[in-house]
Amino acid sequence: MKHIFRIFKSIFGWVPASAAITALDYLYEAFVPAIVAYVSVNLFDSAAKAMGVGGGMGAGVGADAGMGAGVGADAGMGAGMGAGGGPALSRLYLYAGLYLGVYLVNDLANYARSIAIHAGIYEKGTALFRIELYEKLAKLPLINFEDAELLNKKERAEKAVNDETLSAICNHTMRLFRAGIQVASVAAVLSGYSLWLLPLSLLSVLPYLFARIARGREFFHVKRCQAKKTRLLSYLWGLFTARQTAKEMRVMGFGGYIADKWRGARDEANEELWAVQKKDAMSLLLCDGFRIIGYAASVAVVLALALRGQVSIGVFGAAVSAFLSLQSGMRNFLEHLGRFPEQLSYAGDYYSFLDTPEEKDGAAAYHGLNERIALDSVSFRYPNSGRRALNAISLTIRKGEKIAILGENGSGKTTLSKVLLGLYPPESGQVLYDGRPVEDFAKGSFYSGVSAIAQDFVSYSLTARENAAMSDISRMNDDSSVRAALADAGVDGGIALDDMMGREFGGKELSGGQWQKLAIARGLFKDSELIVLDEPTSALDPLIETEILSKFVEAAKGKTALIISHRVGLCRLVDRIIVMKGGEIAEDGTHGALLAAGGEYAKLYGAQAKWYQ
Amino acid sequence: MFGAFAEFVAFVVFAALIISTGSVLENADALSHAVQNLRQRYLLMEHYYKFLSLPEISERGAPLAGAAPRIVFENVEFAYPKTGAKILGGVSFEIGQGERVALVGENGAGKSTVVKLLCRLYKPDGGRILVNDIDIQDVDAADLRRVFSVVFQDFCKYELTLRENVAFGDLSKLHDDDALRSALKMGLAEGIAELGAPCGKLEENGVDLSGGQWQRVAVARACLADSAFVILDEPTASLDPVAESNMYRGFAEVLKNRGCIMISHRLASARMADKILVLRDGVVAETGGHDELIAAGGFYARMYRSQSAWYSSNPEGGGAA
Repeated sequence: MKHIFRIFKSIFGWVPASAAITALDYLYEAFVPAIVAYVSVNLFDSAAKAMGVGGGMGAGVGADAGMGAGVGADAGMGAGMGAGGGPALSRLYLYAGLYLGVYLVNDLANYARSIAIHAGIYEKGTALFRIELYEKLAKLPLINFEDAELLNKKERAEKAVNDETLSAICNHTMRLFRAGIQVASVAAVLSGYSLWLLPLSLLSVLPYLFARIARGREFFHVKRCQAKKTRLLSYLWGLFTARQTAKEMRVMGFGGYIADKWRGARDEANEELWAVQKKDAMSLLLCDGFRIIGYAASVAVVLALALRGQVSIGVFGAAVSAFLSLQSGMRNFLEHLGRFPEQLSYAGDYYSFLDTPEEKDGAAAYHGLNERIALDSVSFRYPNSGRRALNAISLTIRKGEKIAILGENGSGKTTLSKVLLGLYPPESGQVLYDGRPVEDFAKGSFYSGVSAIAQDFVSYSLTARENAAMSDISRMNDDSSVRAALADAGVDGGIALDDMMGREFGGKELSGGQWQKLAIARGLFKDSELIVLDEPTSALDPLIETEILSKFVEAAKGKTALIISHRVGLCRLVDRIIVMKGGEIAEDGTHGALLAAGGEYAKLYGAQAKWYQ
Repeated sequence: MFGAFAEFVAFVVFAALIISTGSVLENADALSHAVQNLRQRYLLMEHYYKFLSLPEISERGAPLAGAAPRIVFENVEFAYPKTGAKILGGVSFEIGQGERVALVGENGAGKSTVVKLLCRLYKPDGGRILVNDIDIQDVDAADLRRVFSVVFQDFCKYELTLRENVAFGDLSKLHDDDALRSALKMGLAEGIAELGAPCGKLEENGVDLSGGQWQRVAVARACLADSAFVILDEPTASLDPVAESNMYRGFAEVLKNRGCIMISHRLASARMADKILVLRDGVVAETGGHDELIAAGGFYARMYRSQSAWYSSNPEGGGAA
């Protein structure tokens, strides 16, 4: 229930005009069948009078058609009243006009509502729900993205948004109210003529209601269990459509294998759904049977009532048509209600994702490093991983130091840099900036003061300017700074600032190394005093590598820099070298000292240097 | 009597007409919706069929005779569509069976483009690429796979089992554990996980591999196929120095009878090559062995010196070349 309130609050807050138009139209529609029923009772009665059917029927047709004396008596009364044809005829025209008017207004309102609902509630509403979702994503601790549980939750929340489920809930809730009012008001109008008409039509559709609700729940349960399979399916499908994988698939020729695997997973998922749907169809058939019997019974009863003269011929006609709209209204109501549990569970997923605890944002402003960064026996473990990626690391980095971090693949270098930047919270121990825990700082303030280029840097299919200035958008239009950063990163001088990068939108095709240069430019552009580079030059050619690294060390004078690299040669340029092994610091010292010690560093250095002797 | 009955019938018809007016209005609405819907879908369907009717490339082609493929580039030219600038402007070279070739050059010199042309991912704009004197465009796809296996620079990380990750190099060996294990050994990836273990984050109990470990798996994938040549585009970019050194040595041993085309910025790798091709300004600027090119004192020598300076015994030697 509270999910529905949240959705309504959001939608009425975001698109008040569309929501109000929709609500008003539904409210009008809610009373249309009742009004139509009332108008047609009078329309038929006055028509019968104007034609004089009532009197004639009472006398002659009554015996002929086997109609009871009741109708005759009623008609007799009508005949008495409608002795003059004039007033009856003008009443007929009045009700006929009313009848058409109701439908005309209904149609016009329908048009307005259909625009409001599509453009406002669905299009705009869904876009805003999507923004809400991504704003939430941005606020989540980075470490959550390593957690399969949370990824599943995110997947379902995204599905809720992509399928427009939330907007649909808003729409369907209003429709539920509409259908509810329709049923109640028609029943009220009819029961004004005879109380008998009320229970019959309601009872005939109740089994239908229960079956729909039960099935809806089971259906959703199956879908939910299939979330994992769906993830595999969309992953496999993605392999076909991504440029990078399609390339390998074609060259190595294993596309058929992936297709078979996809087909197998899909068949499995479909079989489960099929079983549920079969059951669903059977129970629906049964329920529809009840519904039709109910309808036939109500018509029979109202006919009997008419024959006995308990209702007028106008009521009989109106009731038969009202039953039809009542039935379709009820069916509509139940269909929406039956789908409700499923939709509500999606809304539940959406809001449970939205309510995931966010990263606690500290309050303190970060004014830059004064003395040192200290790690105090910091340990770290990835979610669902048995092994510690960092094991009780203690380390002090003084302001202005340039440090190289070396180590084998998987020794914890990148993890260390992420923990140091407060991106991953340590399992135990503390990361202190001038004695203050990193989580105390307000994120916005802290990250505007540091610059980092990740190993898996992103290649933006945007302009060269945007690629470089993304790290400090406020200076996006500072051409000379952007140019300087691009030049320092060794980006080809032939590239203009506003040239489009990447083939995606028809720009220049760049090689891996050229993309890396753009990423380095991005890191350099941001003028911060703490810089972390994770394997900045892995894809660069030797001339540029030498140039960039020397330039970088030059530019970083007075700044604190951490460079993770496999290029051991670089280590001669830095103040201090840290060698990681198995999540611990194996060695810590200068190039000369570590080389003399003949330990791990000496081994790494030797392994690389010997190729250049 | 008859007149009264006729009047009654007229009334019933009138009532039926009124009742049906309502449902006609409703149905007309539904009909217009359905028509609109159908029109939209129809437009989408046209896109679908337009896509399906795009020209296809054929997998079938001429069978490749002879077990010792020889590759010839004849004045190959290539420009990426719509960019105008020629990335290759008449590249010619020859690679014999079992030869180990290092392809070096600056970023953007077109090294990876050469690989893509060899894999037939693109067609050259000018010139020809011949495999045993047959134009590469005419070679049967399955036969071409026996000539080359490749590790791309942006190699893929398949979040499936380790077995599948390796076996994609040659699916016929999907259940040949010995072959898979020896391929992993060649890629220096033995022992990173069980063959049946899922890799990556798709499965809850998936093994999280580091960037370097993924790269080794990709190399193992290429080693699995019994191809005449293994093409490696930056195979050691994210490897630690010891692993890098081992991989060079490993290649030299493992690829005894197989040829190899390697792109690397670690010029150390060029030392184990039989032949070095230096790509510059869209052409092959220098060709020869390591010592030969060093002696010539050209572009290669300059790049090599720049890199080896990092490791020279003179501590001030680091920096510009």
